[in-house]
Amino acid sequence: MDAEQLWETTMDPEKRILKRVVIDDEDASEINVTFSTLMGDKVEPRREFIEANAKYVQNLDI
Amino acid sequence: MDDKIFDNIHDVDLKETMETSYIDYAMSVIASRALPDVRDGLKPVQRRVLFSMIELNNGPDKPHRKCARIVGDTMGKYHPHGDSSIYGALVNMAQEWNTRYPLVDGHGNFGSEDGDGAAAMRYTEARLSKISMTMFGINYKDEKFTTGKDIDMDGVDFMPNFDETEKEPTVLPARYPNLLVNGTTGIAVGMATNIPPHNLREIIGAVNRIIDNQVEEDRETEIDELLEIVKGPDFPTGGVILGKAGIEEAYRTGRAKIRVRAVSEIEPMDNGKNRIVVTELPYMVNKARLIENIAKLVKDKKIDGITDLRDESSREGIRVCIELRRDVNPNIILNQLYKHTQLQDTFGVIMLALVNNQPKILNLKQMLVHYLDHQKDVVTRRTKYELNKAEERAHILEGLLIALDNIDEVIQIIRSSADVNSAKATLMERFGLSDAQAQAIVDMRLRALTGLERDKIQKEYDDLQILIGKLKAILGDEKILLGVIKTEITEIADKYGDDRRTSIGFDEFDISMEDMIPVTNTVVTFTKLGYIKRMNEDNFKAQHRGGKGIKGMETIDDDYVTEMLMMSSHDYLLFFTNKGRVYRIKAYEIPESSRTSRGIAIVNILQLQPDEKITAMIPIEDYHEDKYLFMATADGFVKKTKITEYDNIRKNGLTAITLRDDDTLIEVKLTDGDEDVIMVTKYGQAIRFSETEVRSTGRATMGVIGMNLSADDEIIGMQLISQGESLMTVSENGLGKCTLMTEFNTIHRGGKGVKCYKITEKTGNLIGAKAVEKDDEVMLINTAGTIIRIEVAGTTLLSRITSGVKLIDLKENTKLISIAKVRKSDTILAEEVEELNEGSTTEE
Repeated sequence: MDAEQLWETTMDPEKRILKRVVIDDEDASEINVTFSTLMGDKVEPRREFIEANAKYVQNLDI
Repeated sequence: MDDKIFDNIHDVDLKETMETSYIDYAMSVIASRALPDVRDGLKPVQRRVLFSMIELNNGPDKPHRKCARIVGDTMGKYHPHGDSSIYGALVNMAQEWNTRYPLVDGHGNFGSEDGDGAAAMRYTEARLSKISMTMFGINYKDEKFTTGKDIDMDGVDFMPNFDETEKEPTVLPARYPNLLVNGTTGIAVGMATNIPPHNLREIIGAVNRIIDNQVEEDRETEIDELLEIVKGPDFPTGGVILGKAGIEEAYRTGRAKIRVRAVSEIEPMDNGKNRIVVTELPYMVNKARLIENIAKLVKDKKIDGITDLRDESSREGIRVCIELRRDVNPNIILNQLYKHTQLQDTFGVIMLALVNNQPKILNLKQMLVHYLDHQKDVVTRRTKYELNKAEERAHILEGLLIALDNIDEVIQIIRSSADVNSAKATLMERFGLSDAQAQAIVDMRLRALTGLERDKIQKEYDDLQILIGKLKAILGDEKILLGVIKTEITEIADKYGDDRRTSIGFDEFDISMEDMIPVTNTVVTFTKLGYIKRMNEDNFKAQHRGGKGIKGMETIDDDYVTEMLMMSSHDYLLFFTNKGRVYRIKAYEIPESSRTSRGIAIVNILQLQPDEKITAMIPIEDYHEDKYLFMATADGFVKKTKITEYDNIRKNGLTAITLRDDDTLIEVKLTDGDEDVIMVTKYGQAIRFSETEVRSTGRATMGVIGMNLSADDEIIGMQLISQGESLMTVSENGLGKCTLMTEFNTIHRGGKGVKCYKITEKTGNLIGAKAVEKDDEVMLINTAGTIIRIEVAGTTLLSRITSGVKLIDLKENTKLISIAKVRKSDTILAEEVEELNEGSTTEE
C-alpha cells in the first residue's frame, strides 16, 4: 500500500480497528484441543476438522 | 489524546479466530493451489499458464517465446502470486522425466535428472507441445490447427480473473484424461495427492470400454474389466513395478504402496569381474544423489564388494556402472542396494482430486467416469454452440435464397425506399423475413446475383442442413454423443500414444495365492442344504466292497451329501444352478477342512440369487477352443455349447442353459464335439447316441430332446463312452454292477433307449451311473454321510438286464445317494492306498 492508503486504513486513530484476542474462561481447556488439532502432529483430526467445517469457509478466492 | 488511541476495539475469541482463519487457509490451499481438478488433471497455476500460452498464440507451430513473457502474462492476468512458483510449474510441465507426456516444449536449459534446476526465466524459451493442444480441444494436423477450439466454442465455463478485467477458464476441455495420464503430486493441508502417470493408450482404452459398455450393453462397467486394460502406472523414467497387488489395491481403493525398481543388467567384464549397469531409475529419483548414497554406503562399509562407481550417462540415456569385485555375487549386491538406496523406491499412491471443488479419494473407475462426464459436457456444449451458429447461418442463407428467388421485386423495394431501415421494414413485411435476414439482404453484393454465387449459397445451405441434422442427432441421443467422444479420443490415442515404458514385474513378496496353494488332488463334497468343503484325498482309505465305510462328515438331520468330486486344487469348479445359471471358482477357494466338519454354506462363496440352488458341479481344467460343454437335464433334454462361451464368468454368474419348467440340470460334461454319450434313467433305461446329433448352440438356449422318458422317470446320470470301458450302475439299496459299454449300441437320440438294469424291490431305483475302467475306484455316499471307497475291479461284470450284487452294507433307513469316480492321476497315491489297505481295518 502507499503511504496515503496506509494512513487511512491502519494508522489513523479515528479509523483504525484493533482486534483484541481474548480467551473465554470456559473455553480455556478447549483452546488446547484446538491448537493441537490444527497445528499438531496428527493429520487425521485435522482432516476431519477441515471436512466438517468446509462449508463455513468465507474468503474462498475461486 | 490517550483516550482516543484505542478506539474501535473489536474483541475476538481466540478459538473462533484460529478456526476461521485456519479453515480459510486450508480451503484455499485445497481448492485452489495444491490439488488437481479431476476433469482436466491440472492445478490452478498449471491451467493458468497453459491458458496464458494459448492466448499468446504460443502454439507448437509457432516459434518459442521467452518464458519471462509467459510468466509475466500469467502473473499479470490470471495468477496473482509469485513468479517463481509459476515458472516452476512451467518447467515441471516441460521436463520429460517428470511429466509423462510433456505439455510444454522448452528451449534451453530446463534442468536434468541430476537435480539441476532450470536456467532463469530470462534465458529459456517455451511453447505448447502438440499434445497439450488437445487440452484445449484443438487437433493438430499437418503442422496446423484444425478448426474448432472447444475452449472457444463455449466448451467450458469461464470466470472473471482476480481483478475482473479478464476471463479465465474454470477447467480445460482436456480431450484426453490428463489426470491419470500425466499424474500429479500435491501436498495440501490435512491431505495430499499422489497420482502416478499412465500410458495414454491404456487409459483411453479404458475410457472406450466404459463407453462401449454403455452404448452396446447399456450397463455400467465393473472395475475388474478396467483392471484388465490398465495394466498399471507407466512412469516416464521407465523402471519395473513389483507385483500387481499394489496396483490393484490402488485402483480399487485409491490408496496403496507400489514398489518401483530400477532396471539393471549384470554385465561380465574381462578378468572375471562383474558390473551392474543401471539404465532406468524409479520415478522422481535424483540420479546424482543416488550415486552419492551408494558411495556413502561403500565408504561406511555397509555394502561390501563394490570397487568402482561411475555415472556414464550421456544424452543417449542413463547409464550408471557399479563395478564389483571378482568373487562377489552381483545379485546379492543388487538386493542390498534395493534395500538401502533409492534403487528400489516406494510410490505411495493417493488418488485424491477435486470433484466439484471438494477433495475426494477416488478409485480408477470413478476417475474415468468423472472424466467421461466432463467430456460429455464439453462435447454437448460444443455441439449446441455449433448448432446455434449453423442454424443462424442457415437462417440468413434462407433469407438470401428467398431474395434471390424474387430478386426483381427486392431490387424494386430497395430502390423505392428512402433509407436502409425502411427498405428493411418493407422487405420484412413483404417476405416475412426477420431483421437479421433483411439486414443480410440489404448487405448483399451485386455479385451474389450471378449464377455461380447462387449455387454456392444453395450448396452452403444444403450442407448446413446436413450438419444441423448430424448435430441434432448427437444432442438427441446419448449413444451417438458417446460415439463421437470415442472417435475423437481414439484419434488422440493413435496420434500421441506410445509404448509402455515401465514394465510390470514379479514380486517375490507378492506371491499370489495361487502359487502358495499346492496342486493336489482334493475331494470336494456338497450337501443338500448347500454346504461345501474340500478334503485331502488321503483322508479316505480304499476299502473292498461290502465294508461299512468311514464316516465322511457330520451332517445335521435332513442334510446329506449330494455331490462328491475328485479334482485338482487348481481346477476351476463350475456350479450350475436350478435357474440354469453358472458360477465359477477355483477349487482352492473352497476352505479345506477335516473329514468331520460340516463345511461352509455355498452362499458364502458364490453370489447366488435368492432361492437359487446348486444342481451340478463340474470341474474344468482349462478352456480349450474346440471343447464343448454337453449338458443333460432330468427331463431328458440335452444341449451342447462351446466352452469358450463360459470363459468370462463374473462374480454374479452367467446363464448356462434355459430350462423348461420344473426341469433341472443333471450332468455337464466336457467333450470335444463328437463323443458318444450315454444317458441312464432311474428306472434302469439307458440310451447311447452320438453328440454330433446335437447341434452346438449358444449359451442361453434350451437344447433338444435327448431321451424320451416314460412318466415319472428321470435322468440320473450322463456319461461319455470314452470315460470308461464299462458302465457302473448303482442302486439306492446298495446293489450295483458293471456292464460293458459295447452292450449298448449307438442309436439315434430322442428314443426310449434300452434296459440297462433290472430294477426290483431289493435293488431300488438307480441313483448313479459312471463310466469306469478296471482299475478305477469309486466313492459311494449314503444318506448318513458315510463314504466308502471301493475298487471297480472288485465289482462284478454283468450283462445289461441284470440286478447287480451287493456293493456295500447299508444300515437301516439309509440309502445310497451318489457315486463319484476316484481320479487315478497319481500312481504314487495309489501305491500309498495299497499300503494302507494292507494294514487297515474298517472303522465306523
